[in-house]
Amino acid sequence: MIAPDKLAALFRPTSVAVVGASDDIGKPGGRCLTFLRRSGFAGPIYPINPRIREIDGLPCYPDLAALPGPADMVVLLVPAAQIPGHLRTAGRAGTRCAVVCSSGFAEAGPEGARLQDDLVRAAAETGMAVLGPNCLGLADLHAGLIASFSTALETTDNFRAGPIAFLSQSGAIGVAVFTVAQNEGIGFGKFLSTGNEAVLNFADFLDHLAGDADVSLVLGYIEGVRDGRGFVAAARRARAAGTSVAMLKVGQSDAGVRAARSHTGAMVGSAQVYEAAFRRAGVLAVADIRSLLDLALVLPARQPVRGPRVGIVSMSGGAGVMMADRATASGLTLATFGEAMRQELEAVLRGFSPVANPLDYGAIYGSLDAVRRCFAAVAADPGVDVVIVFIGLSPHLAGVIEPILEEIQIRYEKPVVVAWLGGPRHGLTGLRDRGVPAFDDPSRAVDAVAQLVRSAVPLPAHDDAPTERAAETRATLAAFAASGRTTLTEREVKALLAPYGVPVVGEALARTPAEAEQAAKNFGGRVAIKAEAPALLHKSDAGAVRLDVAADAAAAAFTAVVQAATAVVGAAGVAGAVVQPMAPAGLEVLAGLRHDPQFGPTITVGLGGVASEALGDVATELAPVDLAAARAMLARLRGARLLGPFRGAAARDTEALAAALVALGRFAIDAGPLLAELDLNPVIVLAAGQGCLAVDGAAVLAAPTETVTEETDP
Amino acid sequence: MTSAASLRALLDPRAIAVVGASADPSRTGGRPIRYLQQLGFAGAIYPVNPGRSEIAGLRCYPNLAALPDGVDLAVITVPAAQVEQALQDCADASIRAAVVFTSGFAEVGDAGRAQQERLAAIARAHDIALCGPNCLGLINVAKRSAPTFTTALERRPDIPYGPIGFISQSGAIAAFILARMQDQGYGLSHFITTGNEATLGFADFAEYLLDDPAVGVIAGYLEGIDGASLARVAAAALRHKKPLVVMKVGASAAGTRATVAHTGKLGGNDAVYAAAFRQWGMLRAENVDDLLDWSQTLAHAPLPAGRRVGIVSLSGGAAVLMADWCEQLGLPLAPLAPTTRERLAAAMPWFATPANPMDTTGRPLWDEGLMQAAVGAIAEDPGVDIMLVYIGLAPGPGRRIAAEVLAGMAGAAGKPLLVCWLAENDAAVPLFTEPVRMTRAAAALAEYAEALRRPPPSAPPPAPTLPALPAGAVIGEHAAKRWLAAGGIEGPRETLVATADEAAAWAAAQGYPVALKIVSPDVPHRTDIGAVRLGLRNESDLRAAWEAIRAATRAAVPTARIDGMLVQEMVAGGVELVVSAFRDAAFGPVVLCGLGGVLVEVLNDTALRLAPVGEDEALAMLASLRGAAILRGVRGAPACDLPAAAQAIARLSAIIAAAGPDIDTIEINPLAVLPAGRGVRALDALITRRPAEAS
Repeated sequence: MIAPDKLAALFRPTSVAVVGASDDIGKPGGRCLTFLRRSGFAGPIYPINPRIREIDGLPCYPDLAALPGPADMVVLLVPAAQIPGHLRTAGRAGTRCAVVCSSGFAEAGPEGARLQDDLVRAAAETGMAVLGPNCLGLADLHAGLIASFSTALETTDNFRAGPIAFLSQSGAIGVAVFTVAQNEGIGFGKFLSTGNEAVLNFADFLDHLAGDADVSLVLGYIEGVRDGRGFVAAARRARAAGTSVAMLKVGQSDAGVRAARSHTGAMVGSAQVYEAAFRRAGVLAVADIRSLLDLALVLPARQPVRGPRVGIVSMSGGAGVMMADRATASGLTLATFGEAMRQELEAVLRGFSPVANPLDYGAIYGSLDAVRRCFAAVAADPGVDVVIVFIGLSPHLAGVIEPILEEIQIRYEKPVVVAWLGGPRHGLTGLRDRGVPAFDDPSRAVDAVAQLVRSAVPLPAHDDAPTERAAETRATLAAFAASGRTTLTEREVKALLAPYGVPVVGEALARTPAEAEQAAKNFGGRVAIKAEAPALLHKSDAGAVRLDVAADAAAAAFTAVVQAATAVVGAAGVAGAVVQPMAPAGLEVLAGLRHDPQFGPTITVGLGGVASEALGDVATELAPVDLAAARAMLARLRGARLLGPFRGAAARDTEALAAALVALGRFAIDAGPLLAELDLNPVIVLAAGQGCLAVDGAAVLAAPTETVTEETDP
Repeated sequence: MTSAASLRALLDPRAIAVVGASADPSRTGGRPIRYLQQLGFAGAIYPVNPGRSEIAGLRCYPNLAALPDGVDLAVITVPAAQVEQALQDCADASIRAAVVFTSGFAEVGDAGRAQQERLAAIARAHDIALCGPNCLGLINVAKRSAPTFTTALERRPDIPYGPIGFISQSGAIAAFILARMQDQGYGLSHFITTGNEATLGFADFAEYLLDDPAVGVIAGYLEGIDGASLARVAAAALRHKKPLVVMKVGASAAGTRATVAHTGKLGGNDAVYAAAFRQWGMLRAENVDDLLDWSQTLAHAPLPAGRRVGIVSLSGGAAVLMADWCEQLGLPLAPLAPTTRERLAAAMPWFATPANPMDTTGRPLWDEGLMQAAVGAIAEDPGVDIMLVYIGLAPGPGRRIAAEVLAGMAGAAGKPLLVCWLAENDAAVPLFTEPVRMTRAAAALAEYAEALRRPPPSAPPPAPTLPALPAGAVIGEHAAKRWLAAGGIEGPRETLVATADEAAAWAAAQGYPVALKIVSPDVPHRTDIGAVRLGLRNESDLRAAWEAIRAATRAAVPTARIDGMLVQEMVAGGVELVVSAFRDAAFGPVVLCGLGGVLVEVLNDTALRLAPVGEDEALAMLASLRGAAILRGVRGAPACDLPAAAQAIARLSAIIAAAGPDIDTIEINPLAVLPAGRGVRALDALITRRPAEAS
């Protein structure tokens, strides 16, 4: 664990040494030093290069040991093999943090991986906060710090510091976004390229920024996070502090996964699990680079966002239609205007265009006062949550319309977002400077509003503390693992889950035909009889399952299934047979849990049956879920309507199913990494009020090497 | 029908008169004169205004009759009440073309509509090519002809020339898009706004431009168009091998249809548009960026031979992002040939692994020749059809790298090469500022090339000769299935009975199990109310079902007329499809298929085409379903008789295409598709007619 003050020192060091500094700006060491000096860094800067005496007025030191005092931060731009030694020297002298830009570590093969291990050891010995290696460094414009050698930073030396931080697992994407944003007048206050994340990872930086009062929006580019639960916790902490978090996650396809593996070697993980993690963490997902920048325009919001109802005010009817189409497609709703504003608008529009949403103000746009009244009327309507204004061309409005829109936004305390197509550049920047998000494209403006609305959705609950049963559950699982078991039987799965409140079909283990018959009589109806044979994977195929058996036929069925199982796994592998009542008819769903390597336990629910399985209609969440999240999972299924009253069938007991998912999620947390996966298939969902019942299940224990995930604190 | 000569007069006039000319260059009557002068129009410009003797240094005429001969085009900017006279004056002066800016016609109501009709009548009578009314005018960039009042020409005084003809049904949007094109330096050959389309519409202009060798691509902004016109243009575009890139917004008012059958809801007007675009080889842009990017790319890049992409990127991160989007857009990343890998291994630094995407790392920023080597090697790989190159920012070296990339392209003769470079630039290859936008453009390019290569679809089945249908707005199961059987779509064995005794006798003769269903014109969705019973195993089940259905029907629809009940064989096995056909207000007959009775409704997993279709297209529809795997057999189930299902879809498409316009919807739900070789059975069917006044 890195001490928080050391991590913080990465952003606000008191002094910086640049190891590998150069007097040639064409070289990384020259650029880094130049940018650092230009950035307005207030503390001492120590160039280090044994071959140079002085760089542009700054004395240059032969090595770290020669410094007059310890450097708070060292930036390392020397060959990989020298890095661990420099880290140890610096650490011993009291340096709190290091930025390792050099490449040639884990990304470069086995020799590099060994060097990286040594780097990690050096960091652990000294307790230093280390960024990288193989990264482009960082910039904190709030602190006047640029510790990077990227050529992209040459384009300007006049950066504007805004409340936005950008964390990137790709250096090139990072500086590209940072620079394009700066060129568009979007203030990015902090930028950090995480590189190989040998010591500090993406989640650590996110966690640090979550507590930074200068930051109200964190944007990120992710290929794969190493510490998924840490990421979720950090993002939630940011959200709780009023900071929005948005991520461009790549590696969502097979082709992307392959490309990412060769890029950073990151474990990219499953797209569905990331979606679930983002949902739980309140993280906005974006699909391309432009959308990241668009988010930076619309967030941080200056005004509260109360809901998804938009009022569109357009200079052109056509653009109004285009934006209404897009709004509907992105999940926004078009507000229905109230009576008060209707009257005001009728007075302003004087019959030239109908009072409707989208509202066409093209006919009256010659009168600035009428236009202002139009905008104000829509903004004043209590049914409108966000106002979207479309302006086309109209260079004469630049310098005039900006204060009007700013005033309306402030007066009515709701966001006003502008799409200005073909407008002058200073019109756009003028609006942005006044805190009115402005876009040069109507579709992108609407998409950004949809994200703005999503950003205001409250964080779902998340409490992943284990229950009081955890120790017992883990002990049971560990005992199975210790006895060499890799899978669990239906009976064992049900026994584990029942105490958590997952409703499971009753059963009795019979060891003799007579016991089977007695059990069937006890259940009082037709039963299923299944051989109990842990090693037998496909019981039905082996003939070791009999369904719908009458009590008087139970003994014979017992003998038949035991014989069938014995034929495959031998008598020693057959413990008898399980007798259970036949499940009543109902809607079949499947429910399960998986242990995700990055994000830990996840749970999944989907509609059962061949057709739905072929369509892959499932919903996934991080475990645990509360009732609200479980209900939302069911509602997200494409086939959710099958759960309601449908085609003459009564509504299903979705509350019972949701409660079962909650219970399954708690179990998943308790089981932790000991369990790789567990399936309940099917779970029969009865009519409302009658509950649900898991009638079959199976589980796979974690492979022994995977169970060692608890980290030891050095 | 406007003659080609008149259209030429409109789009390539020798001399232009401006009726309602204003001396104020900011007024609607002043701007076209200023723009014509500003662009350097070579022909004569004649301001017409009885109150003036001179405007903008030009002699002003009192009326059109006073003009010298040889005027091709009149720009009409006078108030609405005077437009009709002005157009008549054009006719009298033998002027072949007119652009009417003036609004206040069909868009403002019935009186305006009547006025517009009179304009149309004059234009038709005298073969005047009429653009508008209520339009922003047009521009022929090469000929410097700009009868328009768009303020886009205020911001920037000129338009770069290029082989793209842009036609818009919205004047305002057109102006905004024009401004964006000017800003991005995208060249145009024509800019046309169609306004109210009193006579000439989008299709007429598009057809004219397709004939113009200077136009390579048509970009369109559509709000509404009838299917026949769009079909005409699309066919002409394919014939000329010129891509048609269209952004279509809004659901057409005419397209909203109410029907008792579900298919109307499932199809939806937008889905019909999407089907039309796909079948006719048009590209549908989702937003302004796509419209501009795609038309620009298609205008300048060669067409790829396939969809396989090669990526070279200065950023590993951008490479992953593009790889994601390639997969999502159905563009496979080409596996590299061994020789390509060897070339890359020889040229690249040791830490850059030869692969596709090829992550060059930042090395080409200072290592000259590296980018050229990477692009050249991958572009020349026979497995690569399209090259995507990401340079990223590279502010200083970017220009040099772009030049290198261009040099690399020389080796990749004939393959499209798209480049993403975030810095300002002036290179001559299609350049993008966002990698995802570039990838989308590559997909559009591949899609268009495929549309051109696609063999003509197989012929639909011949139009069947069908018996007359019974009267009524809704034709129920029994009659509908008999009618469909005559069209070659087989149903199960069944009979209509009036009593439970008759049902039992038929079932005893044909064998159990059977299904029993109410037959009533007043109960369209019988399953919902429990008026369908399936899998009746014996006579007592059958009789009990009879009573239960009667009771359920009475309870649900007390006034229902009951024609009897249908008793039919249970068809065992197979997979159920919904197959239906309906008549779209804009595009006419449409055929649709989806998987499974409940699934199609809940999951909306359907495929839709304009009817009629041949069997190969029907097979493609089935293959495009998300649940297509189910038809091919999953979990040990046998594969279904796909050819028979395709045949039924094709036949239904031929039936709706041949049926009278009163037939609104034909729905087969379900169509049981039996295991391979055993055919299909239409288990239930429903036909609806549209109300008499609408047909």
